[in-house]
Amino acid sequence: MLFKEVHADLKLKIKQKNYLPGSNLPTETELQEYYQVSRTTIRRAIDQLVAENKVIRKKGSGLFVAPAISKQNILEMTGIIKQSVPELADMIKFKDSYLRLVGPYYADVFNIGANELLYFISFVINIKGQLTWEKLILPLEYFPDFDPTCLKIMSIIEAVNSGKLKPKNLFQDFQLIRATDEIGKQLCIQKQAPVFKITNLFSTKDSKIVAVEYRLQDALTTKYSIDFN
Amino acid sequence: MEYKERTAATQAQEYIQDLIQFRPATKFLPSQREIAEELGVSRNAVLHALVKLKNADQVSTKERTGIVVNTKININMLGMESMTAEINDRTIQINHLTTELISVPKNLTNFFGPTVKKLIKISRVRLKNKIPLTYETTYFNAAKFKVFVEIDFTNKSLYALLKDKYGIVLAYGKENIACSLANEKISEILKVKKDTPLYRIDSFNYLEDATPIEATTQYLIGSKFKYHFTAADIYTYL
Repeated sequence: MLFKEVHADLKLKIKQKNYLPGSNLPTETELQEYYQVSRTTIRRAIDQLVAENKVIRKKGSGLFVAPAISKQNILEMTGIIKQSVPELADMIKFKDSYLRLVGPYYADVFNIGANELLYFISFVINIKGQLTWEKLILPLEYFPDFDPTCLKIMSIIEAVNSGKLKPKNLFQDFQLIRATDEIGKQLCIQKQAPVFKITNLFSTKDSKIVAVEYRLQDALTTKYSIDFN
Repeated sequence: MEYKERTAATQAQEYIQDLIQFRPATKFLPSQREIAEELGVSRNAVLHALVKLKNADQVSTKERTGIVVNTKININMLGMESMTAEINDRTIQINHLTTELISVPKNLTNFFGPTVKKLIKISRVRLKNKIPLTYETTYFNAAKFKVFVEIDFTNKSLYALLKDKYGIVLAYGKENIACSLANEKISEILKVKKDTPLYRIDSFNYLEDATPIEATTQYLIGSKFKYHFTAADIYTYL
């Protein structure tokens, strides 16, 4: 089999969503066995897919199907509010990911039963030393097979679009708060230091909230800019 | 994925948040003891939750009165309206502190361009019930807006004046949002402790033909304000 055939086959499988955007591809070894070709052939095929932005090669985490929305797009789109450091996340460290009860508060936020389940996913992104602590809350019902590892290469805005309900609108709340012990620890800043807390509510066209994101950043080193027309 | 029970502190925090956000009719929040009993958690867990909510200035605790809900002034981040229109609260007073004629400071030479030599700097404070909320300094090209030197801007909207006096309507602009800690001068003006966190908003506004008109730096007391915006059809941009 030629590398071109392997390349074409993988590309087709990605296109047909046999491999979903943001999900892991089989490893090079697995692909080698599957196609019964040499490692070099696999590598050439993958190299080409990487060059075409179809696949992302991430050190230590393997191969991923590229998300349909690139992080760069999102930064451009969020001309609404963009950070001054438009760098892509190069390091993400998971702090927590578990299922929990919805409880009374999120029952009201999502308008679902208090005894249903929520994913609680928390991670810290390090962009050139600038830390962002993200917390993502998703109802299990809307995201029955959510895999947090997709967040390694997918932005939150795309991840929240991967569930059963399609979000359309975003409401953002932006506040200046002070760091609790926990926030201070995660962001490596002093307790009581100022922190920007952004709450993003993603909602469908029927105003149903499908995801809540909290983003915390050291306020003294973060700057946002907005263009008005 | 594994399942985890919510901690007692999280339960207490979300219980209080639910009351604040979704039961706004609840004028008085239950006491710490009542919350602990209602949820079957320890007083310590409730205290822990309150620390978090206090750090976000969502509540304050006062002896005798108990837990008090704080309301922040909510500003639309995408509004290009003047601060006066944004806050939209007639009980807010504007105090005009000073008007000075100054040389162009370094950080504004880019905005005003090399031909502008002198600026008018207008410093004002906004207060509600005599309590300061914001401190603002606005800069104009002195050659163009000479009249401003003589105007008392107490309780006057700068934007309204620009429109009425000069027929100027700002067409577009840029705003930077950052945070700084109150220095001695600002803490005195805003009557807050030194190093109190403040929003620092720098805005730069232009005419349709790209003439720079006005630059403003605002300091807003962090605990008293929040911003928001709504974006529709976020995925159609992609």
